[in-house]
Amino acid sequence: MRKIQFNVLTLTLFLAVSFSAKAIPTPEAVEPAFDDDDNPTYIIKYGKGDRLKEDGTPLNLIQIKCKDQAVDMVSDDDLEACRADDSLVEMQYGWMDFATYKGWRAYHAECHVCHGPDAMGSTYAPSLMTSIQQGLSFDDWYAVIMNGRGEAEGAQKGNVMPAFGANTNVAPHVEDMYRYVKARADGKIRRGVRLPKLPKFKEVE
Amino acid sequence: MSILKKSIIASAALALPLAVSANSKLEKMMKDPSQWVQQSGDYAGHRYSSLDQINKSNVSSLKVAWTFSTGVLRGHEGGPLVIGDTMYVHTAIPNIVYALDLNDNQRIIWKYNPVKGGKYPGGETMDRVISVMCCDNVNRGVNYHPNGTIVLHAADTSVIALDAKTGKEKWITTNLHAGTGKYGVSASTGSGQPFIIKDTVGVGCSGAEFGVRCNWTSYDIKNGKKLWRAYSMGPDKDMLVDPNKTTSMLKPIGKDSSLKTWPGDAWKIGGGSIWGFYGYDSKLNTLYYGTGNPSTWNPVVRPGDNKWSMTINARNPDNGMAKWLYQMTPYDEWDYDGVNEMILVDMKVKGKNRQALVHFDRNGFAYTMDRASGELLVAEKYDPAVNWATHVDMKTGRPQVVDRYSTAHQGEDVNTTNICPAALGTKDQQPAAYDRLSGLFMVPTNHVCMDYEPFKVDYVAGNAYVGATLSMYPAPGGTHLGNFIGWDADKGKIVWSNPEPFSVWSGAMATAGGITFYGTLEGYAKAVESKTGKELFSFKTPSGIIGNFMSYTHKGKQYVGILSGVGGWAGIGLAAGLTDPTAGLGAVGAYSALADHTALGGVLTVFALP
Repeated sequence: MRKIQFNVLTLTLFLAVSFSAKAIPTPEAVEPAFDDDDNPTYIIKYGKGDRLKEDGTPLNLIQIKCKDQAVDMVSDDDLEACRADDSLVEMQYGWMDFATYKGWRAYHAECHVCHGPDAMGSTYAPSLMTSIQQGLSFDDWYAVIMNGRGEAEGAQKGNVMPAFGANTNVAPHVEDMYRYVKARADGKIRRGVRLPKLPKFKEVE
Repeated sequence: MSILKKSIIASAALALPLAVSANSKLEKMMKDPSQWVQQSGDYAGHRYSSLDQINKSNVSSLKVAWTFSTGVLRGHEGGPLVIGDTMYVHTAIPNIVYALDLNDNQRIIWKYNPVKGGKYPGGETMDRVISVMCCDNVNRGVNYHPNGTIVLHAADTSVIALDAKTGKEKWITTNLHAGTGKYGVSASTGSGQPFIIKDTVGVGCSGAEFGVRCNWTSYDIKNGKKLWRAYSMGPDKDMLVDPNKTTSMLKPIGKDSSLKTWPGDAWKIGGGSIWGFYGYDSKLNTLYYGTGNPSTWNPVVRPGDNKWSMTINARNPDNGMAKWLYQMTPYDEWDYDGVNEMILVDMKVKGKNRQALVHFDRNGFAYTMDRASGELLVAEKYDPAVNWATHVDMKTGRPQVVDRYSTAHQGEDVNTTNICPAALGTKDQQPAAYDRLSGLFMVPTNHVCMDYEPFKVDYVAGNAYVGATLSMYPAPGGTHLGNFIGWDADKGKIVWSNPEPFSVWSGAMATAGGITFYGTLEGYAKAVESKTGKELFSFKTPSGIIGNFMSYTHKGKQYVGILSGVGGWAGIGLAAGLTDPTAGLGAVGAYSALADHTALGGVLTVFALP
């Protein structure tokens, strides 16, 4: 038993040391924000080529708007119209605040295994993007992640949401993940979006 | 000599011939095409039925003979067995087993549910077990022992022996631990078939996404007593390897072959799960199975080859000792589990008769090995999209990794893009079939690529331990996500390829009628001509198909059975459709979502000619 504990400690130290050596810089000092009801909110900044990658290409493509709506949320008719007419389309390049970024990553580290990539759901776990669109509050979000949800709490028969309160890869990121999924729900972030590796960016005069 | 000792010797002497007869009895049953007695049809994993009543000239008139709802939602992998006039059907969690009377309109003779009062036999609640099943509630089916036993490997890792006639429990033993708090053990689950060899039943383990150090364990079929356990990684004695006699690429593996390839104690939570479809050669007395990914998915924290994850194991089933090992993906950086089925075929390879083993790996290479010696004979890509390695070096057996697609080379917190195949692999668990008539392999495949970003995660016993984010999309140049192919394992070439809108996630079955059956994620049961791939029959079943086809006769008439019930890993990534890699508007919305085509529901559909 003693030996095993030592090993856990070694591994933890190993992980901690290597992590601090390679921390990710934030694009700018944006404080995580909260709305009037204390729900966490996100900040997406859309650039117009004021920051470029090393190879001169623009910043991350964060959303494609078709008739001012997120492209994966428009009707088939609108999509056809936008395909035919470029002036109806807006490509939004930019970056998101670090908290939302961390939320994206934490979500795709654990949650997407059941709830699907881009918070869009799977054959057996609901789309969290839709849940937030339908009014899931931050308080409920927090409670379900920390405590889990079984049939007794209203989950569909045979479905179980595990409790992540003791999971150090999830519990500290509950707020950030809410930010990310809320941004998805609001059509601010397109599917498959990623924050590019930041040190490769340079400011353009 | 005491009476006790005498009786031990006497029973040992008796046990040997008995074991041989049980084994040969099962092999004899496998040769009888009127029954389907093991998940793969036979030990060689051919998934071939020598029945030919349904053939390429009449399959187009195939009709549904009867259907059966399993009463369970979620993903249904594996398939039913037919022993005599009884069919055995299993379900996803809670892992119900039904015995159906084929003589009496499929009346339910007995129904067994291992979950009682919300708990599995191992003591964990069903809710807990569901919460640690990676990638859906699937189970890959029950198996049969000729002493009248149906064996179930339940999701909580319990191995359950049932009386085939009555469904009464003969014995139950819980293999591992699905709960919390045990370092390198907790959150183990069971999804692979229990594998019958002689008078033993062997089971693998799932849980590489939870930091489980997995193993193969063999039990006595009579009483559930543990016989041996071989870990996928760790000290030589844990892995049941002999440094001088166990070989890899024809050379002895040497001392501490695994320990040397992990940093510190990382092997103690090293993954290497075993949950695919296995093979057994009774003449060589060798069991074949593959091990899964090393954990975590972040390669940066575990520099080294991480042996013997991602490895084909050839072992003596009597004592577990490894004869040879071959690691397909040393130092995995993409989650290319090596668990896929082992197909044993005696065939000509490069002009020479070989006792071959053919294995379609997740990493996109199809391997042909000499199954007696472990010699690597052929390793070729079975999807031209595969790009993470240029080729396999035939001298060293190592894949030649392309830096551009190496997630370790690109580094932690970097998004490595356009890797083919995706973590789903060019093929996942869905087993291929061997068509004995044309000599071709019928292979269900995925045609999906990915972006992959590894990063540090903490290990907490009993919790998920993944360490990478990924997004998936169709391979470049197309919008389809799967192919069903005919493969020549001697030349290492695709002979024909049928594109499918979604990954083909069902097991194939070839028959002497010159046709091969497979299912699609939208729910189509299809039959194609084995030689050419030409589609001859298609019928939409109630839900997406991730189960495996089987065939049998009843009162002289041929039937073909398939479990529908969409889910599994395929049900996660594809439910909402995939992302658009080029981000151009033209392709957005071009990839339809699986959720638009099918919904949950476990149903068995049985076909026959009118």
